[in-house]
Amino acid sequence: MNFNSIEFAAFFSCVLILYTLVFYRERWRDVLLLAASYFFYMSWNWKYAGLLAFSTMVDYSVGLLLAREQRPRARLYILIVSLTSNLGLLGLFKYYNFFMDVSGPAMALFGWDMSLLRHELLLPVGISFYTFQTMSYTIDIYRGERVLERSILKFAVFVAFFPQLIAGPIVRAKQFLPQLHHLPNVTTQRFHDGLFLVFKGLSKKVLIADLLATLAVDNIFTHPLTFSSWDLLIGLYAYTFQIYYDFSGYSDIAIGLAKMLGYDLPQNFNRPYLSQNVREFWTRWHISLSTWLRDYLYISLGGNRVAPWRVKMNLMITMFLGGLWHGAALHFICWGMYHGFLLTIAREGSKTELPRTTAQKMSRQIGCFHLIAFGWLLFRVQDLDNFLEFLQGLSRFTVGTRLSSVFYVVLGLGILLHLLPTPKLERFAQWWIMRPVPVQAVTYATLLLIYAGMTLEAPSFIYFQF
Amino acid sequence: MNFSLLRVLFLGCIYLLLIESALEIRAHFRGFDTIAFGTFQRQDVSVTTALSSPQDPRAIPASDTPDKKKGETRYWIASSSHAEDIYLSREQVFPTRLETRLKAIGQPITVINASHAGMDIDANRTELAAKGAIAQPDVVILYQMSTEITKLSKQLLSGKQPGTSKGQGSNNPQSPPQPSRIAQWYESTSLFALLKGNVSNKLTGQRVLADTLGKRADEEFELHVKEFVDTARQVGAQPILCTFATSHSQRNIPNVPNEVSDLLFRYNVYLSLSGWFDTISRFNHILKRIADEQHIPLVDIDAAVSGHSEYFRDFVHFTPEGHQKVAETIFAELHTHAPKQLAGGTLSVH
Repeated sequence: MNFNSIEFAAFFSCVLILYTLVFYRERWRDVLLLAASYFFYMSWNWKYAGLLAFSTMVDYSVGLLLAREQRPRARLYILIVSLTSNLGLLGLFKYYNFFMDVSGPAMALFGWDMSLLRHELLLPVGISFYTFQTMSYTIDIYRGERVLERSILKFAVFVAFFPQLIAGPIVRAKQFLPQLHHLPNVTTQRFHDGLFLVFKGLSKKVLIADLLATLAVDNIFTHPLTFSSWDLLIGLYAYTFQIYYDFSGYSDIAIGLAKMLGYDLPQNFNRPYLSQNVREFWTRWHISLSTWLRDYLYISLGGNRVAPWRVKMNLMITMFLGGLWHGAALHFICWGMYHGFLLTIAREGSKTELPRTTAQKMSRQIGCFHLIAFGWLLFRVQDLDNFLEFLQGLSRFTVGTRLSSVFYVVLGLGILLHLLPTPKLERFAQWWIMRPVPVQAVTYATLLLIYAGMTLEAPSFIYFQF
Repeated sequence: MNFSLLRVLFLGCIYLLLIESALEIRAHFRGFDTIAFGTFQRQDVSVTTALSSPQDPRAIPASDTPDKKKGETRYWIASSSHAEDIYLSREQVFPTRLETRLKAIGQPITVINASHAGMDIDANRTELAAKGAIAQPDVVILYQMSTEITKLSKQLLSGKQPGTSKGQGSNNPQSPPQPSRIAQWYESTSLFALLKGNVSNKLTGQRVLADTLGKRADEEFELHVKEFVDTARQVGAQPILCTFATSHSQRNIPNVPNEVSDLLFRYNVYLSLSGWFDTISRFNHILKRIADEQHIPLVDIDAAVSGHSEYFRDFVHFTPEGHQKVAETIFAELHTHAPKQLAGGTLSVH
């Protein structure tokens, strides 16, 4: 049940009606949110609801035990239980087959056939997101933060909250759990603000990301040698914007849905391609993951309070694992390592002075954008052959285009929207939500019709597979 | 929080319902099926589906096949919407016309039209394997391709973001998820039809479409045809293959009307017009080769009707005249290649 599906529209409408009925009854409200979240999750594959419940139970219990236990060594062991169970789930479902494949050739030297040990289990959707979320809860308690939740019901809602269950934003316990203890903040303005965000996200997804993908990007990356170098370059730029609008569109919908229900989720994107260096990029892209990696991995490794060579190594390890988090494939690892390398260089560069003129600033932004775009090539290719084909096509320096004018218009629109200052968009949002309700209703319904017609296939969100 | 907050959603739904209602009325008066008014009762369509009289000139569905009589020759037509054309009466489609033509010789024969819209070769094979033993066909005629091309296009050209590891993704193209009831309902609305017919296909024309399906498609198609042939033989029937025909041929691509290409793009958002022609040409070549290698009779419908737009109401579906021409072509080939079986049913092994 994708957010951009008719099924989800029906599901959320039912949830909203029931939610309005039970809104002032705290326990019923929590029960409804939990039931709706599990129903949503089970619509993908009902068998994996058990994993979600298991992860919830383990971390809820670990949280209680950590709060009771004072001895440092015992607390450490309890934390290890949580980390082992969460990382074990991730390892089994996401990485096990990959490591079997990678170690296969080496093991074959000893006469072992690792392919026999492969499993055929499907990857549960959202597992990378909810395991990180529950791990952060136990680590926070271990570090002494006051985030303990004694109600299993509220904790289960925190883990399974459907707007952000499948692809984030990864919410911290201290951001979300306190909201469950108060009457959700639903006002007319916030409700309409949330609805505006949902349509903003839907527009990003359908109008830009999906159109870029279906009009050209998918084909360019599947058969790169049938396109000119110009088309490949444009295709790479287009994918750079496609992945941004796809994921930030999802995040907008998630934040908007939560807001309509009265909850606040953290911002996940802040116009990342305007960054002047890669360090800044990681403070603007997938903010909930990058701050998670910083707070729970990079700092745990020693952060930047160690020798310079160790800092660089910490960055490389963090980004290596960040790449691996996206998927069990070599190209994701290469992407992570590439960003680790860029970050170590950017760390040196941070000692140089800030740009003085607009031209200097723009040249840095353009340079950084191209570094990021090359990273997306590593992220998008299917294998090494596909990567080499793409580079071979680029290096031919051929011109001419097979791409349609509509595609260029969509790409141009994507670039322009990215450049639009946030305050202007916010002012527009505030102006829009004050329009008469019938005007909003007719506009939203018309947009839905247009988007339904523009959906050529039924594309899922890219980050759903992670 | 109270229900007044949901007013914006409620009004939006009312607005959509009003548009749908207006479109349903318009669609009904134009002769289309709608949710509110149901199936449009066409004047010339026979609504009788169950047939019992062997003298009835119409082809009969496999599920209603009566017991086979001694000396009777049975022809099984495996196709899709080409032979089960809901826009024409059953008397007008080529299986019925073929039956009429064959009966005119005076032999006891029955043509079983085992074709349903949306079927591909694999579905034809499954149907034949499931019902072949009961229906006991002597001759199985396969006329199938466009559904197969659409399925292979989706499978081979969708070019989605690669999964994280092979076999672990939930979007395996081999097993596309079935649409839910809600989605099926939505797809049956007049709004959906209007949007798909006026927005989606226009956008598809703006895509970078593939000009070929590639070698893997050839291999898959060949495999499916060979499996079908094997199944036909397993049920004791003589398979007959037919080449596939289209309203226009490759040499007159510039003359293909927009409504023809629009309709193609409505159902297949991956393959260009020249890609369609290229694939059909390659697949027809494969059919000829299989027929040659396995000594199977081949009916070259492509040579007989392709490019004659008067025989087609769209790119792949026939007009009544087209159905007549196809029936005549099949009859002529049957007469040429297997005169004995027409005369005495020597192919029958039942």
